[in-house]
Amino acid sequence: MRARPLGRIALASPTAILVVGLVLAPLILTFVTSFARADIVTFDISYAWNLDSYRALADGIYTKTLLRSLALSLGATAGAVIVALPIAFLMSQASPRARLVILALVAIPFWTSFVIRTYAWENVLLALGLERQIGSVWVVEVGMIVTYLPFAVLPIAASLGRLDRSTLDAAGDLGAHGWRLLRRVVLPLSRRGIAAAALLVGIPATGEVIVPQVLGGGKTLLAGNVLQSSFQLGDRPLGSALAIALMVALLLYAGLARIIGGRA
Amino acid sequence: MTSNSHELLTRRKLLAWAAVSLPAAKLLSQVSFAEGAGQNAVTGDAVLLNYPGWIGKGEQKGFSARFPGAKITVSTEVPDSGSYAQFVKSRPGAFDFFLGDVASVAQAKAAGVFEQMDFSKVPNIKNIAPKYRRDYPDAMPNDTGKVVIGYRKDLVKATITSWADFWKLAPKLDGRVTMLDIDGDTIGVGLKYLGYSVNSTNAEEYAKATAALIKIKPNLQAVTSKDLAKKLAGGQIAMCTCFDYDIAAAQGKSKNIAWVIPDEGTTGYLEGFIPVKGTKKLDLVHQFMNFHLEPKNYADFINATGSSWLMPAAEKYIKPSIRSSEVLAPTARARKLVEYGGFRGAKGTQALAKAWAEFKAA
Repeated sequence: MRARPLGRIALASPTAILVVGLVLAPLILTFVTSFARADIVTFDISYAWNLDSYRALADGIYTKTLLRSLALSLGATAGAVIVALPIAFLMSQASPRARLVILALVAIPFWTSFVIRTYAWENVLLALGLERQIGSVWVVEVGMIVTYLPFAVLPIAASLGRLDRSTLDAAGDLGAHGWRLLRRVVLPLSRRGIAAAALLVGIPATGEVIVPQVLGGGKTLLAGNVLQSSFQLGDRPLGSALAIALMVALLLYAGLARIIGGRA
Repeated sequence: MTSNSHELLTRRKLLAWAAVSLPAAKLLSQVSFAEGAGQNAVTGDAVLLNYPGWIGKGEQKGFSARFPGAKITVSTEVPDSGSYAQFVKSRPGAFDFFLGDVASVAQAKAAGVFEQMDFSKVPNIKNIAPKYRRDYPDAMPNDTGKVVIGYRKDLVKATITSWADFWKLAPKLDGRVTMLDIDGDTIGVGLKYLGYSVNSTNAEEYAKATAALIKIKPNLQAVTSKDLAKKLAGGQIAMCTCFDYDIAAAQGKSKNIAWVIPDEGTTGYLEGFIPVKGTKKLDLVHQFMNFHLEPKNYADFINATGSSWLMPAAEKYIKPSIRSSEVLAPTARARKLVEYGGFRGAKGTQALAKAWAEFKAA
């Protein structure tokens, strides 16, 4: 039996109200605020449409930070996928019990808060005598890879889990081993998982705040930190413009991931 | 008739009575006069925006014990940089008073979040040394501090007397130097290094200070204000810009800690409690301020934070290790070389914000 139109509207309205109230309304507010002007002394916001904040974004300070964020995010995504692939492949080929053990090893870090995990990495670096490396870009990059690794392992493992063992055997019989097997069989079949991993790692990594603050020693500033700082300094229009710019970059990124995943 | 009116009383009137009296009772429970807690003692709950741990260990409990029904809740949801006045303004009704420096008082006034306090309700304000009351006349002065160069004598084999020395040594101590993650203090250091005022309003001076800071940024391990005493005492950093109380704490852990107020001068702060415009708990805030300014309670605050103090009458209750600390003492050199960060006006505030963004993004 088909629900009546009114009934369908009634059924959908709680979700619609939530989406409008919690997603669309803040988004519209952020968009409108990005065209406003902030008084740095009184902290008043005047909603006279202007492009000041977007012009400020074009300033070298912010473009550099935005580009650095995107580059680090891309690096973190690539790194996490490269490290996650063998783990996920191992999981997909392991016995159910061994798979459970690997899954636990991947998932257990999730039981601890992200902030604590990041501070734990700082302590690891200190214990290894690498305190001078804290603050460097590569430490931030590695920090992002390790903290986001589980986000990459799980979707790739789920994708490879559907891989039939006989497909690999057939590929082997036809002469595909090692690198060729990976390139011609495993990678194409796990493309959707890789695309999902790229989204799950890339999107939060682009707006990352904690890792650059802790492992970057507050030195390697990313877009997320500038965004936070803009709001703290009372410049909400600039923070909003940055948020919109980041969102546009992430939409492009998501589109790219969809193209990669969509062909599978 | 009687029974009818009685019935009406139990239903409609009772509901109406409840509708009026319940909010009134709630209001009274928040701000009321408690018996047995002294004359005109106010009860209720006031929220103080404050740094984490920046209050005496027994103060909140002691206040509630002295004034049953009165409570101070401390919110430590403070921004790392930027203006507390802005933070207060962005959360209307969330705070009743906040900790802020001289600049914050002016900013709070400009932003419309400053509430004039009634000093007659805080008689213990007399315990604060007059010079600090003069420098912080509109609210309740609480503590003071300064940015110094802290270093490890065993790791830094050079004499440091100035910011010029700091700049010269930073490349040699590559990766073992930190600077504070506070806009006014770090940009202020850059300004002082070049001989300018920390309260400059000149955009060009800010640009020069930023360029100087960016030059040594690659040598910094971190731009941080956290755990400096621990890191300095543990040898994880060899040299830093830090607050005097960081040095006092580090000296308690290691004998290798040295410090200096640079010859070019330095930036400092004088901060206190500022009531928030329109707070309904102003009397409670006054009551807490008065309690806080009793010498024993004030000493409890100093003993907990290790900060420089403003109250001579509290000295006898302050721990000897803090009382005898040279870095915390208001010496003649400190008085001569420390410039309090103040309100820079629109131009200066804009220049400071730009300088900080440039330094952090570099």
